[in-house]
Formats: sequence, structure tokens, C-alpha cells
Amino acid sequence: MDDLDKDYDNVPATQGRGEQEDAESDDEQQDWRMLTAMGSNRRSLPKRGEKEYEPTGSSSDRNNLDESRQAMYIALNGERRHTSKVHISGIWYPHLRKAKVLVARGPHFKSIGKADSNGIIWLLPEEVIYLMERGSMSLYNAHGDTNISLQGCYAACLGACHGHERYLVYAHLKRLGFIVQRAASFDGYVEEETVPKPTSNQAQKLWNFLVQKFASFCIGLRCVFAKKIPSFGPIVCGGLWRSYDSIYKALQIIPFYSHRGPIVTPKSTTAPFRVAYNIWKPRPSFKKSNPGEPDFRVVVVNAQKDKMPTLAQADALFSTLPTAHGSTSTSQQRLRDGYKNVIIGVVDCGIISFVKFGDVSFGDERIFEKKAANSTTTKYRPTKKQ
Amino acid sequence: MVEDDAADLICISVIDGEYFVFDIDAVKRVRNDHHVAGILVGTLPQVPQQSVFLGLPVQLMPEEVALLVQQGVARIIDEALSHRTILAVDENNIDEAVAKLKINELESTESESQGALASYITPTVSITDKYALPESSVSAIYDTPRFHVYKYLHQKGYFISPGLRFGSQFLAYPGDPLRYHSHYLVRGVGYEEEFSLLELVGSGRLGTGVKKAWMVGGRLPDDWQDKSAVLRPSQTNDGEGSETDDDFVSFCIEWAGFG
Repeated sequence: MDDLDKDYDNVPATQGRGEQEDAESDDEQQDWRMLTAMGSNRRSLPKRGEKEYEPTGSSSDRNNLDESRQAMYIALNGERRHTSKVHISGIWYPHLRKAKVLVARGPHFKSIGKADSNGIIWLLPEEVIYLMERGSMSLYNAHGDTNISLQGCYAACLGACHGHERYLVYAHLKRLGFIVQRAASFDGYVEEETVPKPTSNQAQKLWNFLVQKFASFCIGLRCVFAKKIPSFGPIVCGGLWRSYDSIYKALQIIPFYSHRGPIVTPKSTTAPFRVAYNIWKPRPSFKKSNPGEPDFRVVVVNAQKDKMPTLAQADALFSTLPTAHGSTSTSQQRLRDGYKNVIIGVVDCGIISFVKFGDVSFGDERIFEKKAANSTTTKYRPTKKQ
Repeated sequence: MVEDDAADLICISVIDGEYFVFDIDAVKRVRNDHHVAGILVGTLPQVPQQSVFLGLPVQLMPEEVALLVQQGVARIIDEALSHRTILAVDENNIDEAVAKLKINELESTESESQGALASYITPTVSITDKYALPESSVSAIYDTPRFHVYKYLHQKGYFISPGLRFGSQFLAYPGDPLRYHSHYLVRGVGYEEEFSLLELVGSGRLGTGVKKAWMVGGRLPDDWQDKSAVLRPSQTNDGEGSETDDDFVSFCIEWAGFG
């Protein structure tokens, strides 16, 4: 706390205020005068402003507040305008819950929209609201007689977005530049969700089945022939131990959850714990027709309505995910990211918080093996019992 | 369902169960006059590829809407119903050719008035008849611990926002969040509702770590036998304090930081 007071004196106004700023700077309201100060320089992000501790009732306080508010209101009153060069227009069909695109200019269609067999592009409701909000699109009703406002667009499209929280996460990630597509499980559980690809070859299937059976048999055999664990007294006792490794292995008597079992068949997921969106990092070579494996998967939950997933719900969710790393991953990567992982976006009345859930099998990472390899092996003779 | 005397009420849109304010004047009134800030949830068209500064609409919590309606300064408009004439379509009788002609007309009048470089504007607010919902659509939350603590803090002049950032129900600001940091992580409970010690420790330490206090509070049930034993003297008897304090009991917890 004392350090913070020092910071107030020495640090220039534009820098953060240490702890307090860091704790809140992520998504607290920022000073809109910083936005105005940006002017036409749209390349950099707006700077973060300073805040006061509490209102003092002074006129300078009041002035600062009024100026800040004015800057915000002026910005909020900005126009949603686009030129004909990048014009997008469409008709909203409520019974189809999609918009039919009439004019499709500009760069957005590399990652937005889907063409049907006649070459007509259709937009999903979240895509429509996103384009309308940023002022990139004109939307018309089915009769063609009304240019729908943003408010009308929300009224028409939000219900079809599968929850406002899903739209918020969609728009947030789009704004940050990611490519966002609905996952197969967007509307509900899907039989063949994205999983380690099951082999279709009959012979391959038979071979996998035999290997699994043999592996279980071997594990069973090992249990029979392994040293019996004494029911009292030290686990490690007597005999000659040639390495720490063998001692640590003997100590592993507690069963633990491991990923080295047979491939899991996807289980039936329950709402809201199923993948809503697939996310790709921005890249110019992205093709809607062949996007490739997503970089992230996002589940969206509502902070007021939903609870933490039960173990069963989490298990079902993870069973639909592919493994995060290939065989070339390091132990550190597997511990940090998990064997499988997913991002959960929690939404609370307009505020989003992203949390990464990883399925980490700590027991599979034999830390002791690496350490033992590094240290010199010594003979260990346990002290005789008195 | 438009009543003339309702014309001065602030319009809050309800769409798919969520509350929004689209009109900039309504946003100003709600913030300046009633210290309800809400959360901006729309993309800002001037700078669309960032999420630091967001634009309209403002999203309101159910508690904020309920309070404004209870105070008689706002009404709730069902936008799906208000827009039904505009959005109506007879699925079996869609004349797309006619629609496209009309759209072309609309758009060419726009480009004529613009001159050489045509541009298109999307308005933010619609002009429709407003289908207002009765107060009963929100009155169910009047008797919840969340609403009690919200109302208590609001009457004391605080600005209140959702508490997701710090795992609480609300955050309370001594002034406009534009200029001031929040002071409290807020948790409303029923007066006899149990809450875990772990939550007290977790929230208290978290709050202190980010320079805030954890505030927990609840309203005495109306049929509580001996209110004067619980409430502060200023809260009972005299007419001064009792209106605003509303039989509310609250505590603030900060970590003392010894050692």
C-alpha cells in the first residue's frame, strides 16, 4: 500500500496507478476523452485515463465529470454510415431466421455469411446484428419498404441468436479480429461432434479393438505379478533399490485419472455446456469452405442462470473435444494447457469473463523420471527396523 | 397501447428477456438524472475493431429496470411486438421482386441526396408505436435480496454495476464509473439466509486485494418482532432516516492486514 503512494508522485499521468489500475483496468469504464484525443489516428488503441477516488463535490470534479460524459455522449451519438464502395444490404426473413444478402461488397464476406446452391449469400442473425452495429450494412424488411434500425434489428434477430450472451461473445471476438463460426453443437447435441477422427476402415477398427483388449489384459497381468503392497508398514522396504525411479514407481499406489486409457466415445452434452463457437486466429488464407481445425473453442454461459458444470457435464463436454497437443508436446505444455481444453465465456448483464478449462492428468506427467535421469543414481539401503 | 401521459417516461426496450436502452436521450436521462449507468454492449461504429470503448445500446440489469419502473420514471417496451408490423411476412406470399424494387428506390433517393459518393445510414432507433408492458412484468423481483441491496445502495446515491469482474453480485461506485473506482463488492442476502464462511473470506480478501470492501446486507422481514433491537437509532422511529434506509442491515468487511 505504501508503494502505491509513491507511485502517485513519480509516475506521469498517462501511466497506470499500479495495483488499483491493474485490478480494474481490464474492463472498467475508460475516459472517453481519450477516445476523442485519438482523433483520426485509428491505428493505435485508445489510452486509458485516470480516475479519482471519490467525489469531493469540488467544481473541478464536476467539470471533469461533465466533460467525460459529454465526450461519451457525443461518441455514442455517432452515425452508422458506410459508403457504396463497401455497401452490404440484405432482407431479413423472420421465418428463416436469416438475412438474404442483396449487395455484398467489402472484405467481411471472407469470414461471414454462407452461400447456398444458387450462389445467394445468407447471413446468420448474429452476423446481421454485428454488421448493422458497426454501420457496415443496411437491412430491409421482407416487403422492402422499411430500412430497419439497429433497434429493429435487435428485435428481429436477437431471439434467433440463441441468447444475448452468445451474441455478446460473438461480437466481442469479432471486434478483436478473430474468425468466429457456429460450432456443430450450437443448437444442441450432435452425434458426431469434433473428436479424434474415428477410423472407418473395418480392419483398422478390428486391430484397435484387439490392441485395447491386449493392453487391458497386460495391465491385469501386471497387477497379478507386481510386488504386493503391504497392508501396513512402509511401502518401500527391504531389498536393493538401484534407482530413485524404481522407488517412486513403487510409491504410486493411488489410482488416478489418466488419459492413457482407450479413446473416449463422445457423450451426450447438456446445455449450456457444449461448444457454441469455433474460433480461428485471423489469417488471410482462411477459407469458409475449408477452415481447418479451430484454434479455440468457446462455450457460453449466463452468470445469472447457469451454475458451474457438474463433473458429469464437464466430462461430457470434454468428450466432444479433440486433444490439444500432438505427440510432440512437452510436459509443460500438457500441464499448462491440459490434454484437452475449452474456453468458457461467462456473461453477466453485458460483462464477459473468459475462463479456460483444461483437462490435466497430473499423474501421467512423471516429473520424477526426468529428475532421476539428471541426478546420479545411488544405492539406497533402508535403515533396519528397531 | 400508447398513452399520452406516458410520453415523458423513459423507454426501456425488452428483447429476448434482456433490457436495453437505444435512444441517446434516454441514456442521458437515466445516467444524469437517476444515476443508473448500465453497461454499453454495442460496437462503436467509429472504432469498431476494439472493445475498450463500446457503443449503444446500453444494457440494464433487471434490478435497474425494476427500480426505474417502481419509481414511475420509466416504462418497458416490448420491441418484438412494437416491430411486428414492420417485420411481418406472409411466408407463402413473398414477392421478392417487388421488395427489391422498393429497396432500390429507397437506396437511390439516399444516394441522390448524397451526391457523387453515396453513403448509407442505419438509424439507431425505430419510429414505431410502442407496445408497453405493465409493471407486473418486473414486480416479481421486488422481493429478492438482490433487489433489496440494489435499492438500498441506489437510494444512498451509489452507481451500481454487475459484479462479475470480482465474483460478487454487484459493484458499488461512489460516483459515476466514468470518473471513479468502485468501493464495494456487494452481496445481498436474505436476513436469515446462511452464507458460507469461505465466501466471506474469499470475497473479503479479494476485495481488500483490489482496494475495495466486501459489503453484505439484507432487509429485515416485515414481520420481524423487535426491529429497534437490530436497526440503528437513525433507522427507526423518526420519519427522517426510515424512508431511505428501509429496514436494511449491512456490514462491510476488509482484511486488517496484520502480518
